[in-house]
Amino acid sequence: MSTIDSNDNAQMLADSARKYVERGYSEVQRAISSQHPDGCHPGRWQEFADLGWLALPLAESCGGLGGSLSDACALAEELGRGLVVEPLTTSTVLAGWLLQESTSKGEPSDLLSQLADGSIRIAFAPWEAQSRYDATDLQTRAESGPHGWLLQGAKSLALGIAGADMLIVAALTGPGRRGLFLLASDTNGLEITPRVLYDGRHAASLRLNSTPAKLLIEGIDEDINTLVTRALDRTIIAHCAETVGAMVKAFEITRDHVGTRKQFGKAIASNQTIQHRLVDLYVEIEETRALVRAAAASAGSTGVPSPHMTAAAAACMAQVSRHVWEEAIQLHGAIGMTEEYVIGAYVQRLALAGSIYGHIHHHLERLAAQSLGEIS
Amino acid sequence: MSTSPDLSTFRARLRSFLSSKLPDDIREATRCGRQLTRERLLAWHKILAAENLLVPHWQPEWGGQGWSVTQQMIYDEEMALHDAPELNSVTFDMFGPVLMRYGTPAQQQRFLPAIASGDQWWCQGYSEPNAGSDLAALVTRGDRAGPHYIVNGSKIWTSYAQYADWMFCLVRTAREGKPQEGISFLLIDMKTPGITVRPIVGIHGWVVFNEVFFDNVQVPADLIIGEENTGWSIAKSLLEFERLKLARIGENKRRRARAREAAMTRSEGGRRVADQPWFRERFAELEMRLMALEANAGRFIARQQAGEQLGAEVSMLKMRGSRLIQLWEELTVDALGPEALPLDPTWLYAPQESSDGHAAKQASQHDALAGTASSRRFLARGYTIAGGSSEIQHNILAKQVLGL
Repeated sequence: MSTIDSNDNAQMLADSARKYVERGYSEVQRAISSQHPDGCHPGRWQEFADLGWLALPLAESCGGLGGSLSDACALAEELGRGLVVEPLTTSTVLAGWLLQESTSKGEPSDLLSQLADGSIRIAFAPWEAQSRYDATDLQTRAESGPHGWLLQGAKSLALGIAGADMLIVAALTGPGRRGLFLLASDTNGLEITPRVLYDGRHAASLRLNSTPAKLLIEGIDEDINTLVTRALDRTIIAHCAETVGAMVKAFEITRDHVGTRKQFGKAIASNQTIQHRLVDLYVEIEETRALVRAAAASAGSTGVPSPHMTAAAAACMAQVSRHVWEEAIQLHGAIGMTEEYVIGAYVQRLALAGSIYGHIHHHLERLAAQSLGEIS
Repeated sequence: MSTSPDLSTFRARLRSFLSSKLPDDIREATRCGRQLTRERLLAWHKILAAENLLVPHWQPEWGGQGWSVTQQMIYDEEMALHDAPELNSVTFDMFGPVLMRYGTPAQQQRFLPAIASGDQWWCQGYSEPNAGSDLAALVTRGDRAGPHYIVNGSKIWTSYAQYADWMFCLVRTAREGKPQEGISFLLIDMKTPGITVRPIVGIHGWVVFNEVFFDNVQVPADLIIGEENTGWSIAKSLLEFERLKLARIGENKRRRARAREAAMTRSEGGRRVADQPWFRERFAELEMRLMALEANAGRFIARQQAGEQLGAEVSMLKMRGSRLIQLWEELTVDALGPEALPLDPTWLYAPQESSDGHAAKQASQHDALAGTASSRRFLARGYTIAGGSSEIQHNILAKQVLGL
């Protein structure tokens, strides 16, 4: 497939990431990362740091490389293509950016430079059970006492939390006010429940029971919600880019399979019905890639993407990734349902992709609300 | 779409032109999905030509302005959003450029100025009863006899032949060898004796299609484009012009606005259709597809402007854009419910020089949107058939892009 419209920076980044994945991230190595208790191999993470990938989306004033969201997406697409398990997007594009934006501008932050050099890993737990995909709907509370802030509540399953050194959570601080809090993962009163997902990535939920935490930023609901929504929109787009990478590779594997697999004495790809189905996948993937790139580009130098484009990209990714994995199985036949054959891992990744940051109906309603107004 | 200051000014100028110069009756008929008469369409062509806006994508030597692809896309979009009728692309986007590339100087001088001034309407004589997607199976014959070709046979599904002054026509001039190698590209004056045009009324109530019969029609031999028996490659190259336009982004946005308007002004189950979960989800899905189509077209535009030659993969724009138009029309029909069902000739064939007051016009629009919705839904089916059906586009992408 063509990669035709990347700027030079993003293209160089994508090329080097592809080489890295092809040389150093085989199925065996993916299994090693996935079977690590944190779903993130420490040596691997240090390599990411050495390559500058952890610093990429952080501002230069914070020790980062000042890469755009498009740059982050160019990298994410290649890592998705290689089914990289490590939680790069959630650590940098999401938690790193949130930390950077909650820290006073211009103030050097040890934490951010440690994040950039790989010495600590950080994650944000956005959602709660009652709200599912709406990170602005909070019940977690923060009480200020003589020994600082104590948090009470729970956060639901999110990527990157297992094994993270530091966590960011949002909590209500008073009437009409809320804040973002930072806490170490070994804090007393913090209970982390790790889970391995079907695609081999690790996620976790957490409970906060009078858990001490450091306040990062506090303000009226609207301001904090805007900050969190922007951070998540960035993450959704990077997640879309990862998923596009996985879709492209799954498509290529499937195309090669139908080109070589023979039945009735000829390649199954010589049947017109198979050809047309592959064309549909190809076109849908190309459209999704174009839309995701346009959404990333909408962030410009502010780093904040258009909500309209984000909702459309997320919905498109959810719809097309489902079409791709379902067809990948069907066009492979029974072998497409096995764990041992290569397409299986792509199927698992793509099947989950459309749910992690909200299913298609959630994103379509967000899009509808922007085009048709809220339901009156 | 780029939003550089130059393009913003460009768009603003187009908007102001369209707001002031598009005649009310034409806007109204287009908005409501009524077929325009030849007279009114030609009147609109003359207005555009007077402002140098009929063929702005042509080179200045032929009366154009040499617009970039981006400018053309903005133009198409603004035309659609202002309810200007879709221009006859066969004449302006296909035949004109073919003539510039393959015509003799005499042919160019004879036809290009007439087209650029809005005086001439062309139709495309390609399909025949037994040659649709398999166009090379055509049998209408052109037999050389002294200074003429004598044309016998028939064409069908010829769009707007009833309006056309001229036809460019594929005829069989040789029967040996591969079918593609015996086809010539002739220009035929529709007033030539021996031509009969039979309009075919569509299920939408419009006359788009025609059957055209040729009974010993004499065509001067100097009205052949290219050499004898080279018509196939000329005919194919014609489909390569303006392939980016076939995404029909503007036409899709026009329909998006209509679907939204229908849902905002109608109720179902005691609330606005726009508040019904089924409508919201469907509308958002189509909007998502339109945004994806536009982003995808944007990549091709960027490549073309960078001077890159576009390959067969452009077919995907036509394939997706044409289908999306149909989905918008379906959604509009659903949003209108029973209002979309009656076939009322007063809506379809309303007089086009209207002297109604503004208030009356507003009231009538409410009904007219519904009164012609089914007609538009049927009309939209043509997009996935004409100009290379969706199935042919699939074949092209499978063979030439995916190598299957």
